[in-house]
Amino acid sequence: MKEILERFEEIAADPGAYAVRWKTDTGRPVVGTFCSYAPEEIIYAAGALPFRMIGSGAEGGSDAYLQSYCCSVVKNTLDDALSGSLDFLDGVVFPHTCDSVQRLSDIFRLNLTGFFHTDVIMPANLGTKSAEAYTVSVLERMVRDLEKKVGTRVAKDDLSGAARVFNRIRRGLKRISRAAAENRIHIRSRNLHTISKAVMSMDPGEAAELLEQLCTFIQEEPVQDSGRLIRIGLTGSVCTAPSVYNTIEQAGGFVVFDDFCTMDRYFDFTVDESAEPLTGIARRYLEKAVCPCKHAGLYSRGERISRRAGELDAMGVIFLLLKFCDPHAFDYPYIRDMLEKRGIKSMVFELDDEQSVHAQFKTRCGAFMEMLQDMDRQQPDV
Amino acid sequence: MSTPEEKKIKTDKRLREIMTEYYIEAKTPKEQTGKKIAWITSGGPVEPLHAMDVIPVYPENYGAMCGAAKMSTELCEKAEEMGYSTDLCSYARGDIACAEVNGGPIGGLPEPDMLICCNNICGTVLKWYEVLARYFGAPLFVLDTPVCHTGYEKEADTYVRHQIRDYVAFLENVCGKPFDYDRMTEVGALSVKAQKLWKKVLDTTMNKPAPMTCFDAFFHLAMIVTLRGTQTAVDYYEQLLAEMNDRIRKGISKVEPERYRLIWDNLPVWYKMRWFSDKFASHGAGFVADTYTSGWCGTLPHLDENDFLGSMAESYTRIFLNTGIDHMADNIVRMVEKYDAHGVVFHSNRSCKPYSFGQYDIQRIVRERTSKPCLMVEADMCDQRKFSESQVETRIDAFIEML
Repeated sequence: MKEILERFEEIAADPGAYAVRWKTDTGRPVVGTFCSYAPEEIIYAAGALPFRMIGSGAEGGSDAYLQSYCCSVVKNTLDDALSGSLDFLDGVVFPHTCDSVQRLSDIFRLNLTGFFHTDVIMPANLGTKSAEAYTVSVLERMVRDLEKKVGTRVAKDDLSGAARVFNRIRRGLKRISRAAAENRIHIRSRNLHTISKAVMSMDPGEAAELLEQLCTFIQEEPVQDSGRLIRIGLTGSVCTAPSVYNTIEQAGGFVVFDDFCTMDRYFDFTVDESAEPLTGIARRYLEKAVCPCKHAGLYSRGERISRRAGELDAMGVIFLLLKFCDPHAFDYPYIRDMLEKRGIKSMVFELDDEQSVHAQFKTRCGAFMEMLQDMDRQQPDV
Repeated sequence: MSTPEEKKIKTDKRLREIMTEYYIEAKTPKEQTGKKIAWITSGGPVEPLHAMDVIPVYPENYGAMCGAAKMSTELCEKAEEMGYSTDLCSYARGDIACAEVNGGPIGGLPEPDMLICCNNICGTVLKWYEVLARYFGAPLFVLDTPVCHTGYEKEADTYVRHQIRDYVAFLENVCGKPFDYDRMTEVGALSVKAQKLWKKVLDTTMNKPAPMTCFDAFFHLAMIVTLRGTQTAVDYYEQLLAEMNDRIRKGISKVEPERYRLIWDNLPVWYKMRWFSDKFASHGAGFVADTYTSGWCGTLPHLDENDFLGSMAESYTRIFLNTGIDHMADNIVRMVEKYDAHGVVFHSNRSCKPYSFGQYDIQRIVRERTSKPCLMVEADMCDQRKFSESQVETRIDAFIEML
């Protein structure tokens, strides 16, 4: 298990270096993606490596393109591209999500001309009768577009094969994450963050293989005493400051789920392998755990987070909201109230960058854990 | 030189009367009017509502009223107490708080029977209307208009056309009566007529000196937003156009002498309209056009007045905010040429990310293609806490020197 984790850690520490090696070894292109609505299956079926752009946090000159009131994920990704650290990319795929990403896509298209650019305008309203047909037609356009830009021919079998590989990844991540929440594998939330970060830029075949190997270490019984730890759920867009996991654990917390775009929302729901490949892929986007940029009823996110908290016996939920991330900020008050009604306490923390986390988050998180511990002690023994 | 009385636009009075009547009707108990109320986004398809005799109410228009009355900041603070981040759109924050406390100049908007949200202007409205739908328990219709970064695709057209049919079915269901297609044809024709008139009004500023500025246009915009599709709007803009042409004949302008002609980008700073207007006018600079008010006639080329409902998909999807920033830059370059402008002022609006992000690129493109100076001022359309008068003033003075 140690070797597998080390492999993931090595890749997560520098996903770009991995992608460059992959490109040299295979002679195939690498395509950058932004967010979990980027159809990775299609990129992989076209013979390219989907590479998730998250932003390293290094300066690159994005201030000349984006105002100060733009979120760090968008700015950091642009910084990476401007600084040249994404020069190995052959193309980028931008699915439509929020207003900031919409404009980031334009800024990439106009200024970063070293690689090809593809917009994938997924529906924002997932509940209409026409959403599925529209999504399929958008995916068909993407296939045609990539065929032209990558210079390959995408056959139906290629799509089915890619869908199967990504299903293996999703199932693997889901099993490991569940086992970690149930304390049946020696993996903590910080490891999960590393694993998913690596997986999103790795050769999907290798990623699926490693995850399946990791699943063999899942035990039937608890692997350690976690009785006194406070069970916590996390929700937000993308975690740009991995140190939060350590901070939570050091304060006595035990993260049982996280709803980030790089975690739960990335691996939720599999493609129906018996359906036409593009229909299967389209349906997954309409059914998977929803991003707040999308409309899927009025309470779907709140219901899901409350249900996850209930199933996994979480005492509290931490909203880790990226500063200037509007869709999550709009959802916060109602989900907070929904959790409160179900007896689940929550706290909100606005993440700006890694530095802000160290001091402020530690203090806030410590106080929140103490409050939950007090509540736990006051609970009558049943 | 014209006297202050001559400079005043007389049709202003008529607008105030119409808007007063409009809000009085909207706030009259529904049992008396027998009409349903729909809250709708500013870029939303209002014509089918008029065809169904539904009163459309615009939280964004009310947001502007709150902003101009300097009542928004307090409402925003109330929303922040409720848990909404201070970085969210100040229209949305103000409106969410308004629903709770019946705030603003007319004590809040009448409760909606339905909510109509079109995301052609931003993704914010989607989240905002979800909040409203949870709060009021009113049915929500979302018209999802895919972004046209580089063009209008066939699949987007098919998708939005389907939704237009869903919209009609939604209205039939909520109103409990069949959709009146004949009435829709009349409303569609009136809408096109009003948009054409609005375009003519805005084009009167091609004259030197311009008979009005964009600060006037921000005010007269209320009608094309809320009442397009009605005879009232057509009559009103005919009156306004006649007055503008009369001013041109008499050589009356707002800024005298008009030394510099400028273009404004983005929403106005509602609580500082007079300040901006006076500040620029003191240097002999007037805003002869803007990207915002022209948005309500910008898709005329995609509208078919003989098949309004059929052309709604394209015209509502292709509004300028739903296109790529290169298209938005082209629009400003065209404006600079058309209105013979000396420079462009960009309002970097903290409340409106899709309008503001990309402005640096747009500014570069405009400079390269027109060689005109550009100024970026950071503010917020309604939240006064995000405006630094002294900083903006210094930047304006430096900009004027460049002209």
